[in-house]
Amino acid sequence: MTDPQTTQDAGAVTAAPQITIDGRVMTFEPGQTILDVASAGGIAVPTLCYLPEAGHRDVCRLCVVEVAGAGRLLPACSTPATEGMDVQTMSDRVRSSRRSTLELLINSGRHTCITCDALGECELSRLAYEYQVEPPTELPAADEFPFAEDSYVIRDYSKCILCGRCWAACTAIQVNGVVPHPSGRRAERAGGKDWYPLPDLEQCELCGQCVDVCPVGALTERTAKGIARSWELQRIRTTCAHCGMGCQTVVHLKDGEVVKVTGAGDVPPNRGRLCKRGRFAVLEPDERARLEEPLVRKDGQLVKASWDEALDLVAERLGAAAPGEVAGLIAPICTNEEAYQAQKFFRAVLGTNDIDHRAAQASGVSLASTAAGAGVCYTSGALTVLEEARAVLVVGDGEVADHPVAGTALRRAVRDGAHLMVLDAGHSDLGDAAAVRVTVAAAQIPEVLNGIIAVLLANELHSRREAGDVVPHERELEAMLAAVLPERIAEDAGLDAATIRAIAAKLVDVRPAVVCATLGATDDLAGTGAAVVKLQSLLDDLAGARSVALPLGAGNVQGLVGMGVAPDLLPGGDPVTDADARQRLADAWGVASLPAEPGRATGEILAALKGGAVKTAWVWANEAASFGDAADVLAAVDAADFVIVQGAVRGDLAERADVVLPSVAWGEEDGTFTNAERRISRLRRIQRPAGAARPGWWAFREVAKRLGHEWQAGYPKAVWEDEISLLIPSLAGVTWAEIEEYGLCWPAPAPVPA
Amino acid sequence: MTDAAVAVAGAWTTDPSILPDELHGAFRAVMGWGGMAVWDDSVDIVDLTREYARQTVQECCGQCFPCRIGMHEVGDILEEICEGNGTEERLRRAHELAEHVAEASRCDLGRSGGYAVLESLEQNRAAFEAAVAAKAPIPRGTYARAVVAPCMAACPAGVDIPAYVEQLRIDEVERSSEAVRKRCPMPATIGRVCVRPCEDACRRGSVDEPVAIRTLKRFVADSEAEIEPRVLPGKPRVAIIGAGPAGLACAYYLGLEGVKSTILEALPEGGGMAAVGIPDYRLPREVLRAEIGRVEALGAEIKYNTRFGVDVTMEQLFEQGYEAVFVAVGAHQSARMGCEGEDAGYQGFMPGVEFLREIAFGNVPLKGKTILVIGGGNVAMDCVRSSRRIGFDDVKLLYRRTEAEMPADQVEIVEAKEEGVEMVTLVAPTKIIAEDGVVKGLECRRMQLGEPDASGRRRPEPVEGSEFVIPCDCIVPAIGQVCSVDQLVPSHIEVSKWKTLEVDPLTMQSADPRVFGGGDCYTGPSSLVAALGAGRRAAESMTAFLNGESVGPPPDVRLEHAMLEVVRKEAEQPLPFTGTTEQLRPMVVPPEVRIQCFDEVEGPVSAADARREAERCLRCYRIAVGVV
Repeated sequence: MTDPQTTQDAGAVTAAPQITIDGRVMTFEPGQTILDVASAGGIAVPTLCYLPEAGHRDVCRLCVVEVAGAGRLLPACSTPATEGMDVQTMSDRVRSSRRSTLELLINSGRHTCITCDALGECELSRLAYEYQVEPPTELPAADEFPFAEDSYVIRDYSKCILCGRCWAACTAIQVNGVVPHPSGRRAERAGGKDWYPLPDLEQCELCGQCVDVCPVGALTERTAKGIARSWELQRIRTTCAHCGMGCQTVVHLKDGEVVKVTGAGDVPPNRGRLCKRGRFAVLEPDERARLEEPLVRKDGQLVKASWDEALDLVAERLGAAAPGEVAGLIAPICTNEEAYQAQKFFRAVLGTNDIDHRAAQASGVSLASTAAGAGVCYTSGALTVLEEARAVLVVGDGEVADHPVAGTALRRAVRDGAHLMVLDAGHSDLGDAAAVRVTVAAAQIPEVLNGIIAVLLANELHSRREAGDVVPHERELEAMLAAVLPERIAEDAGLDAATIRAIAAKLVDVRPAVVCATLGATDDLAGTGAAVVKLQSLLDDLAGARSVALPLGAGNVQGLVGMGVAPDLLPGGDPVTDADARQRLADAWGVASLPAEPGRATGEILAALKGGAVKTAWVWANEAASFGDAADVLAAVDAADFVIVQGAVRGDLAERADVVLPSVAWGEEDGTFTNAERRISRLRRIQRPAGAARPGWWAFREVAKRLGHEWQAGYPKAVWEDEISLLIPSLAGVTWAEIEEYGLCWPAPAPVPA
Repeated sequence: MTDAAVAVAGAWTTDPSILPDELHGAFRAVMGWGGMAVWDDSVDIVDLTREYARQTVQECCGQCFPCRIGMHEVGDILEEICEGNGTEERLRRAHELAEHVAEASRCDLGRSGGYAVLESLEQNRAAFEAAVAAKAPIPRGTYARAVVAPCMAACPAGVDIPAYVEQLRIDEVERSSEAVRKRCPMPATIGRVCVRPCEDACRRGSVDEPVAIRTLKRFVADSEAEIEPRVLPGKPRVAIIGAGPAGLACAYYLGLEGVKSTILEALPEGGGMAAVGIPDYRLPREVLRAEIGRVEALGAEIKYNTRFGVDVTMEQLFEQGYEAVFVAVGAHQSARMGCEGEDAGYQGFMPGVEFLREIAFGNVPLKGKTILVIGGGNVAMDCVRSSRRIGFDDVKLLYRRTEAEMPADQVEIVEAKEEGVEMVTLVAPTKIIAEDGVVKGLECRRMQLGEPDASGRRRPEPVEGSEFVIPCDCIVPAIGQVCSVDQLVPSHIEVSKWKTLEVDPLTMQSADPRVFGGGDCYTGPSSLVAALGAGRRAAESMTAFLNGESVGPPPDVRLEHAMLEVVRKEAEQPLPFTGTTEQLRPMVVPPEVRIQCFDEVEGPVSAADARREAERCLRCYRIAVGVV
């Protein structure tokens, strides 16, 4: 293989440097350590402290290797590979040193494997076994070590080896900084007793990252204590749906019960990182009552019914309704497949576009108008770019806690030296970390963004003119820009124009730059939403494609938009006014035509329910608040003649329903999820549905059948592979198998030219 | 080493002369990373080794497993033996472990500690076996201990550099600042303008490039929060002459001890040479003022425009109730070039120190097109670079040797050239050419390099008949400063033939026990960081003096002083690998911009960069224990 780096170098071909490891000659790149080269070559070197993603190494001294001529043993993890180096990773001297270190470790704590929860995953016990280190005959007293227990984590420092990984995870990965570094002169650390990295539990966010990285049994999940040995666990990889991040998790089960949740390793978007909700929420008992059976209102009371009874009733009422009298509100709690079936039902079976997922106040502007010419809604980008960002503009008052894993990615970028700029209305919790913060009234945020855009455009105009380019309508452009330049805005908002100009300069000078809209910031689509999209597309043009905007929505919002749960968009983002797109779908769905006029958005649906124009509502949500002000939504629902509520728990909506269709909850059905960067990942079934709850796609299919529409796809994979991925051109027929491991950012990127 | 040593073991046996004479006399025996020296055969080597292990265990940072657990067990075994509970088996275990610690530890603390104990166990096998067999407690000796490193040995203030670098590495900036401030009371200043001998001594330099120690110190200092001023009770007990680095350091450490002081400063500005000798583009005045503010916040009062010897005498100070005086008046007189016309008072001629001082007070002391600065040190660089900034278009630096011999910091030379300064080397001034009392040019003579002189640099020798004239408007000699402390202190205070104070180098105390001195007025023109060290040492002895205690340095200090000397003399040990990393270099303002003003040239670094740089430190700690 040729190294493009060296061949590019003015044609001079330099041979890659070489090093010999255990007699094998290997090439390496300057900067690689002996451990890097050995690992790449399949030579295992043991480590206990090594945590490269946190830059943590060189504590345990188990990776020592023998380098010819070096005199002493060297740590493979931190010794750079050097041309001509001759390394032995398994010599007697090396093995003896490792064995001595292991012996010291085993003897310095209470490594009682019989009752230890880490057994089977413990890296120390694995090495002790490999190096045949005898356990000690006497154990130090338990009260010599700190111990702390909360509802999620047991911290038993009698098993701690002081490797520092928990500190590294807390400091460099989650950037919480609540775990102290296990070091300091012994004389100043109570003879070493204070070395144990007991976190500041008052400040701890309980993200549990330290538990994931602990190589021994010092940090364990309380929920798993005494429940299951690691080899008894069933592990299912899935997608967390608590927020728009779509983190990849592994759910550990024993006999069908969830015991713990961990990050799914080095895969996007979260690369093994989780937040408290993602890790522990599933272990919390849900206080809300589950809906386990269909309910039908009889004599004013909701009573249990069979599925047939409920579905027949729904079909009967919907079949009798005229087009335009039924509207749907779908919250982002469903899978892509369920969302797709929902909108298909409304368009193909009921002949209406009156279906939406947004909150009432966010639905004043059509989604299609913010598509920024890309043919899709919202803007695309990779969450991983957040970490690589060197300049970040965070827009809005959303908090890190809304998307903790994205928040920590931002904090990581800032820790690594990124220039953080915050534009908010005074409530951003990243404000303190920001190098520049501009706080204005919420209504002025779009003005400031437009000011930034004006600066960028004015500079561009200036440099074009300098370059001698002819810019058409130059004067008019200049006059228009002058009206929105920061100096103008600053006057009104009492801001420093120089600050706004400085932000604009950073966004083009520092690359990659990211514009990140927080939760709720883009609800105002015409204002902040549109300005963010405009700024992003401008930055793409001016500063290269690495500039991305991330409107961080909640749950599967991106999936719902992508699947067409919107009054003006078809699946894949084509506007409903596009006759070709409509016909293509109509043909596939076995109907003559689809409604051509954009339907009612949430706000209009609620108004029409109250006004009587819409008589029947199909609401798929657990809480009315999913669509805005709960009281307002409930008032609209109350005004309807007939209300179908689909949901997993018995919330405020179910109480007002005429028919309740119990749907599956997270983890009870297969499907896909689209996250904030529009990465499509797999949701997997980890448990049986509660009671008679059934997936939403099935309910729509059953009602459709009763109304004379036979839908072929009879399971989620078929809905995806036989319909969605074939009907949406930008999905290019992608199968579940292809998104199994890493997911796929939609639309699939164009192939990189060779 | 002296003949009196009865046993010298370990690596030091090959070159015992490395151990300075001051050890002998102060200590009966010394055990260190290079072996052991015993001058008194009544010293119990088993107990000495036990103490050495104990000190290594106490210094252990708790990170790498071999040193943390292994050395601890070695210490336990040696304790058992000294308590009379040793066994053969445990002694063998100590052997085994010491070897493991020496081989597998992360830093030199464990490596050299394990090695020293192993050496002692092997060299004194009979003594250890006898101690095990005797089963009798061994009485504990009295010991001093010192922890040193090559960078610390090079630092005239003895800052524990690995300690603060380590704290930066682990994101503990506040603790890093604490570590710095133990011996460096002006880190923002030192972090900008230190001559950084530590970086020359940094062992990382033999692998790739030294750790950017100065840059890291500036990062730490710039991250510090302001402190709350406090009011110390009572009257000031110490008078400090001169608010330069030595005086400020002395007041700072006195303040930490709760001793109130008054600083008398001749100028209207504090900081001494740091204020009036170092231009603002290297050390912004507000940075220096903030550091001075911190000294004041600790309880020192500065009286400006007060000339010692004119406005107040030493006797008057004692009459006013001050119990001790610290003389730190600096060296502000320019050295003479030995060139015809330099005393004639020509218009356009001004000594470098005066030139810089005028600029520091916002004046433009010289005007014209062409200026010649004579000298090759940092002061000369400050003069040429300042000249560019006050409007001279043609700035020439004249030096009698070549650029390679210039004592100035390499960065200064490079940046001066970037700013358009012309380096004229191998020339020496012979005569100032003037018309009507106004400088018109400088007659110079070509030089050539001859044999090396005492400093190791090749001696410049004149080329006969090579005289030539460089036309110019102004001439600034900057070939060094001299002291004139003899004119300031009473006659009973000893003064050297260089007119510097005579004080004890460790206690800074003069022949008059109430009078201490330090800084340039003791060393002759030296570095800022050396002055800080003198100020701290003086503060320590003055505190002892005020408390009626012995001023003589405690054994730990004596041992440290001697062992730092050992580190300086030791041959550099080769490192077993070659690195591929580069030193962190802060951004600098481009030359065409920076010559327009006196704004700071060097930019700050980010926390991320500082942390990455800190990871490059090799922690070359080593320990010594002395038997008192």
